[in-house]
Amino acid sequence: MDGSIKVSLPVRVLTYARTHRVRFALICVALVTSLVLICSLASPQDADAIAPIIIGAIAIAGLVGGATVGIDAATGAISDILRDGCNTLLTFAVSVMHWSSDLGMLTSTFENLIPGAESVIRGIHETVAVPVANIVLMIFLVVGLVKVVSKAGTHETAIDPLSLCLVFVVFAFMKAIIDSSFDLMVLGYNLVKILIVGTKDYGFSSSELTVQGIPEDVQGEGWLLAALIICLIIVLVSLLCAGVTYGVVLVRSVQIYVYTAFSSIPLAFFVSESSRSIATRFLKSYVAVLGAGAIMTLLLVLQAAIVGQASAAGTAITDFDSGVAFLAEITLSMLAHIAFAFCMLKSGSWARDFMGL
Amino acid sequence: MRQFRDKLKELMSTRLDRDQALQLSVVLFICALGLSLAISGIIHLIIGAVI
Repeated sequence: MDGSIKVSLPVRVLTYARTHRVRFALICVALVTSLVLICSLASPQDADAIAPIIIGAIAIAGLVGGATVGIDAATGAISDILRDGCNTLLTFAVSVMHWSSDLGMLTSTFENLIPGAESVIRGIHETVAVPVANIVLMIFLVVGLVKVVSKAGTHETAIDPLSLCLVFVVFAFMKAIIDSSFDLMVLGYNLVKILIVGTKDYGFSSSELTVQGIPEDVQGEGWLLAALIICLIIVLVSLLCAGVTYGVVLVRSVQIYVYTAFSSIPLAFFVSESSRSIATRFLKSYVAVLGAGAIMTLLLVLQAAIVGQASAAGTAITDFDSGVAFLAEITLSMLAHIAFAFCMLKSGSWARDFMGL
Repeated sequence: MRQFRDKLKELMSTRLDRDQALQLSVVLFICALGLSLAISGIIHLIIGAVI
């Protein structure tokens, strides 16, 4: 007896397998693959029957040898995927917010408000609206003349030439306004655009929207999964808000074109005292539509300033609590976006309130 | 100038019968068309100066 303990081969193999799991698994796979190759070369007609053996061997090897390592690697990969997903979604949400706060349509020239539509609007105005307005004006001229003549009563020489002149002078002024109504409406648009550009230049000089990503050292899968879900909701909300903003701005642009196209017809009613309220109401509505653009610009500037300031003073993620604070912060900023989208929807009615409509 | 003003006052104080009013209306209509063209030109000049 030399005092050493005799250990059998199977026990040695199991001990080796337990201590070197990955290596043992690779050896098993290599052995089984070699065996299968030899068998298939010996009898090719039975090669199909060996396939399940290969799959089973690899699965067993994986279970015996690589389970722990595989789970660790998979966990790390899942964390990376979740983090990358969060950062991608946040970047996408920020780009959507940048796109929605782009004031291109609000500050563009009248011709480029809706590209390609201006020539159509001008054609309709010149060929349809102005002739109709001139017909309306002629009707009012005839009515005015009849009124002057009817004042004369039964007297033969009682028509006042001053009243007669006044009717034609008013007619001349109104005809000039109707003929150049398109350019007058464009002039109004350009005057309000000065206000819009001034608001935009003042607001966007100091605010820049940035959102920090989730750093590499954040590893908790549960937290990252929650962050991914929140980021997904943020993307959906920002898309919705951007859609609302774009829709409201587009509706304003279409409204401006429609008002301009048929502007000469309501303006023709300005000549008569009884129907003057139609023209004044139309002009007030048009100014309200233009003013809504200034309100929208102010809202977008405020939105960029508030969210930009929040992102500049954003919470740095160092532990679980700061991570939760970060998620709460970006969720609250989304609420701000929803509030501003609602304000964008209400901007038209606010502008009408300003004009007393 | 004074003669022109007196003449204008006299003309404006004159009461017209219907035939005279019709003739004056035709003249005034043509003058109004010309005046509207002139006003349109002035409006375009102002718009061009503003824009």
